[in-house]
Amino acid sequence: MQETMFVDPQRCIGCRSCVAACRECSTHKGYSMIFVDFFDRGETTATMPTICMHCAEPTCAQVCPADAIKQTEDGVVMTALKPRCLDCRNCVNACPFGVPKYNSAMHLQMKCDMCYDRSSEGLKPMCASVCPTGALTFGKYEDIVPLRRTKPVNIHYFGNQKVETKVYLMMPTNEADAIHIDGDTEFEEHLSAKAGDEASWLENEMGETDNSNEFRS
Amino acid sequence: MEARPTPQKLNYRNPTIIGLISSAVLTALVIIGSRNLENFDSALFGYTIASIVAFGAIAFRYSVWLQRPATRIYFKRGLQLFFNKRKFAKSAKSAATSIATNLVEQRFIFKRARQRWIMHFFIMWGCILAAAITFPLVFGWVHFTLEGDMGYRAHLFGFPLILMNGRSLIAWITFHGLDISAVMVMIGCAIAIHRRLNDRGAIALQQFLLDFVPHLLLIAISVSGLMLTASSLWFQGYMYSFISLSHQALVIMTLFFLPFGKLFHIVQRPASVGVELYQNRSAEAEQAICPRCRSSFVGKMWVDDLKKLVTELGYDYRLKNGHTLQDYCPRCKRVMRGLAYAKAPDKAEPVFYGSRVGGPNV
Amino acid sequence: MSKVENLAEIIEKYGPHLYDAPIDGWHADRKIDRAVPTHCPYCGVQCGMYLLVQDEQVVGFEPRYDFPVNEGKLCPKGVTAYLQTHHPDRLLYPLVKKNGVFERATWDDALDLVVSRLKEIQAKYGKNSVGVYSGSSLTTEKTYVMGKFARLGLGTRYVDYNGRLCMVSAAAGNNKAFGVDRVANSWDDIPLAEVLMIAGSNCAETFPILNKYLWQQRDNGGRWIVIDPRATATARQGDIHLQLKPGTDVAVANGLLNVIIREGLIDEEFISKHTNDWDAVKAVIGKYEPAYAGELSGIDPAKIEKAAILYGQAATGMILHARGIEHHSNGVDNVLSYINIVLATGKIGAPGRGYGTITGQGNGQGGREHGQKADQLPGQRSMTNPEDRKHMCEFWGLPEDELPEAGVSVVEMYEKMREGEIKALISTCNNGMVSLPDVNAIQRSLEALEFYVNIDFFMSESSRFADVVLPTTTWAEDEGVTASAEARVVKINKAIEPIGEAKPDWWIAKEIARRMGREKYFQFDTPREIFDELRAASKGGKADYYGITYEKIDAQNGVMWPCPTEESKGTPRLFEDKKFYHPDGKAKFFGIEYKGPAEVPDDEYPLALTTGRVVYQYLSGNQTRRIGFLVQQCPEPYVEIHPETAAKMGIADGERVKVVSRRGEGVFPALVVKTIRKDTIFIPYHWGDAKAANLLTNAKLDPISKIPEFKACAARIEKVASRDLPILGNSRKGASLSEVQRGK
Repeated sequence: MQETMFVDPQRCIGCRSCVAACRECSTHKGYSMIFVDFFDRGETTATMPTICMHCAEPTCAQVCPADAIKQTEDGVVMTALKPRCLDCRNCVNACPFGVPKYNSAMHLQMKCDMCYDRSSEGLKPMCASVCPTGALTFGKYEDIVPLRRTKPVNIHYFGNQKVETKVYLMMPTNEADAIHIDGDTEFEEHLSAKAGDEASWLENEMGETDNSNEFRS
Repeated sequence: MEARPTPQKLNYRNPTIIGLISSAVLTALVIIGSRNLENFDSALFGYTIASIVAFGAIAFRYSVWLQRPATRIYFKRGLQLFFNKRKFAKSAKSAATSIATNLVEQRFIFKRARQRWIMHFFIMWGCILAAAITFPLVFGWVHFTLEGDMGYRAHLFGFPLILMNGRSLIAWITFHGLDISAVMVMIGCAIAIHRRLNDRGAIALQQFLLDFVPHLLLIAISVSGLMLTASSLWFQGYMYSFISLSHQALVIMTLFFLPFGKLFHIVQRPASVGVELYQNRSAEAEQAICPRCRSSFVGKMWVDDLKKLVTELGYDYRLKNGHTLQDYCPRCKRVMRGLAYAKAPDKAEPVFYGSRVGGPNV
Repeated sequence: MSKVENLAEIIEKYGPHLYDAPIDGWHADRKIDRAVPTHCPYCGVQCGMYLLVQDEQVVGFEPRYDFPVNEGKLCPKGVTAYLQTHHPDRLLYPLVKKNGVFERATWDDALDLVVSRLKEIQAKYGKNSVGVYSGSSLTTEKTYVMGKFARLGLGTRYVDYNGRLCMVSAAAGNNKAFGVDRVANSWDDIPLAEVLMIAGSNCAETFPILNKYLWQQRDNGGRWIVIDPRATATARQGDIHLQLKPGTDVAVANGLLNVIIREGLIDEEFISKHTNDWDAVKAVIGKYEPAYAGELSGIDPAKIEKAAILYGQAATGMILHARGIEHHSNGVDNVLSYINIVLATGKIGAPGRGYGTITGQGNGQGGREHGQKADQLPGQRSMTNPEDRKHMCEFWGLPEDELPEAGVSVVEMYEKMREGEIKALISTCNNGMVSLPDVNAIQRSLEALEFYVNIDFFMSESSRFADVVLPTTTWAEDEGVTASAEARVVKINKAIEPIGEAKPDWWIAKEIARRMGREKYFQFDTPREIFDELRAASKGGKADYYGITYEKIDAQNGVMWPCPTEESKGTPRLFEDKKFYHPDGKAKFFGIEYKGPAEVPDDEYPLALTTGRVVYQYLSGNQTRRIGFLVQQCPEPYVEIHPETAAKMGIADGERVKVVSRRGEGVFPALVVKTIRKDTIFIPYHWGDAKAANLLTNAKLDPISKIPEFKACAARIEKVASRDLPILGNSRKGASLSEVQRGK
């Protein structure tokens, strides 16, 4: 697969079209694997879309006791193998991006597999197909990047931990080669210090604050 | 400053020893159980050897698996919690419930899909039935003697059991147990293969060796087993020895396949009993509080174990503020990453506020 | 008497119920029989999509990557649109209300009842005692039939459509300035504009797919000026946000134009050659200096200057606006004041230079072209123009004296129901009990009717009042054309046969007309036959469809009218020759003075209330409030309040507060956000009954377009005792779902 995903949170309008469309992919029919989180609805309408970044060395796979999470040859990190997954949720809480979800009734972790039924055949994943603004885009690096004024970055630092991913984050600045995440003090210059303490009730009502990544149903 | 996960070094010495010991123990059991091979059918020698080797291989593989740091933690914790004296009764009850719902009833497969549960039901119980019949026979633990015209007597470890009328229903079921199991397995595998040929999700993900070969082997074993019955019942033993050899070859291949592919879940799955115990216990105990949103999202014991595990794997997710990334709930991890993104550009052009030209909003 | 009794039973039986999966569940192993290319049933972008059909049921969708407008993209409404076709709430057979209870009836019985009652009422009170209220989410064929049905089938003058609540101010403004009512450019021009001025449109939520073009423009280095009282997603992503007080658009636009003139950024040559009445503008604009405009609108004058210079200096630029400036008692003024900027800078009729309204409804453009508007005949002809009347009567073979006079706008029609002039109403494709202003008055109107026929595929808040409810089809069960907000005529294709006994609206209208003895005017059996009649009817009109055929639409992915000949490929960009549609070929300036909204905040009602949409719901919500996913994302309306305003009153986020206006009151949870002005509150309007934002809104109409003032009225907030919230998430707080279940 030469194509990959490009995520540009700046463009996200928070419509959650991707969340609805995610359910239409055959590898996880009826289950949505994407997150669109408000930063803090009280402050801004800004939202953060999160899909699996498909790490080169996925933490989720390493922490899996059942060795159930596999990578394809083209670097896509798959949903846990159904016969193996023990529903231990190590991956859910180890993932630096907060991506894997779990369904306890089914004893199963589920995560974005880049709609492998579609992407392995050259079709766009559902989220990237429907995303109105191109906040989620699927394509070849050489096709997508020249169209954008943002800089593709596929290296995250969480504290000291470098995480390299198959998926690119489109940075709004040309200066960075990586994005650094270093705790929740980061945003105080942008949002009020109280932010994050208490989510807006709207986020609650939408199930946005179901912090455990559990499937409801 | 960069931390990278260290590749896990696997130790093969201990698993090899465990594997060899397992094989030796099984060999000893075969010898003892068959009264010094008195009741052992030498025609089944090939099966016996294959079983002993496969058993050793599974033990080897299981030991290697337990070396995964994640597995080891769950394994240790599971045992530790189970044998905690004060809560033993509770743990035993929890484990019994888990065994009943997860391993016997397999409710979780039903939740995944009803068709899947039916498929798995047929394959699993077919295989268990077949194994329950064949292994004792192969190992010489059970054998039958003819008493009178129609009387069969079963012997377990050489001890005589009840006498059956050879024309009774029970006898018919007993002697056709393998045929019944073969039919069950074939039904289950047919459902599985049908799904794999039609479900677009499965089609995208499946690999021939991992997902089809086990089913094909099981079907081949079932078909050749049924052919043996047919040959002896209706065709006066036509090609019996050839079919028998083929059947033996297929069974041995499957036994050797057990430790590697999809079928390893048979020995792996029971670990879910321990995992569930661990989770139940962790949910009752102190909860971890996400330092950002202040919600309790998982058990503290669990997060602490997970952090140790992540460190042991060579990751360094410690943040400047003294927390570890895994201290945060999944949602806050996502939001924090977004906020880091928002902070990235020049301050004059905040990404998530309007008015890039000019000052802050009215 | 049309009253709602047994409300609980009606809701129990007909919903809204939530439904969130294909009819037979989620399956990855489907054998799809066919993928039908069609368009989304919702907004004016008319995104292409394929409906997947299995065993004659719509079971999913597939992106239509090859349709140039959306290239596969869809908003959450579009993604879940297919779920409405087989929704359990669908009305499957005609219902007749007996003793307050809806009972199943045959089509014959129901239609006979309708016809006998209509005849009785018309005999007693005259032809005009019957009204027809239609909608713009219908295909153009159906809108044509509805207009003709009212005037030729029933012989009444009273017909109007719900586009009246949509963009009629833009339509009126465009007609006055340009002599034609159409967006001037196709959206392909958007990426070519250096600067976009987006006034009163949160297109991120209301036209999500339009953002594809906006971001293409941005990728080209473009800038956005966003004019909105709220820091919406659109405003957040823009470059300059003019956060004005609701209803002060004229002040802002005049302020912008004042700076543009002062800086010498006008196009003198264009003004003198191609426009009239520039002096009228100059006469009023002088006093709208940034300081004054800023004072009126509550905006930092420096920002007005920056925005004006940014737009004025740009070589290319477009102004787009939507309901935010149109839903006002001075909506036409608002529109004209922005058109003045366009004309003064000559940014029109060239690549990347243009102007347009972003029409709301799926067929908002098509629905206002072919004669279901109170004052209009097919092809954007006028009911009041004798030549147009003569032309249409000849075309229809109707004696001229049988063609009724022009009617009145829908809000006025509902007034006439209260006053007793209109005794019976046939409504289709609308839900006045949610979407019309001052819902309490609307309810009195419906209750005053002697006979009410409602046509819909779900039981709406309005349907509950009806004496007869006739089940119609969803968009997947019939074919026809719509015209998107860029005037692109596209084709909706039929995916499946109608569900149950549902019938398309045109069939229902035709059957009623036939039983009324007017069969000769309704000689058609398929949408294609209607379209062919419509094409011919529009020939020579402004909205000339004559050269458009179903085949041409398929071949070139839509045709933009005017398309007068069979050879014509349509007209993506208007005014390229700088010829406007007024007789002298010139565009017209209007000097607009700032008047402000009809109701301004005072001591008693100190806050400005504005209403709008959320991305998850469509219009009155009759379709979308039944789709589980959409409802989960936005389960109920709320009132947005600025934290400082909330703090003054001691209101916490999520607290239920009472919002009171001179017309009514409602209780809504407070959403305390910094994204709104301190003096303004906002409520989304998609809900009915006690949750209707339109309980509060002002029914004051624009004198020209007759659009009600949804976007500005005065209100106050009161604390209520109960803080109870129907919060789904609360029960789960701090624990995962399975743990909660285990605990139970």
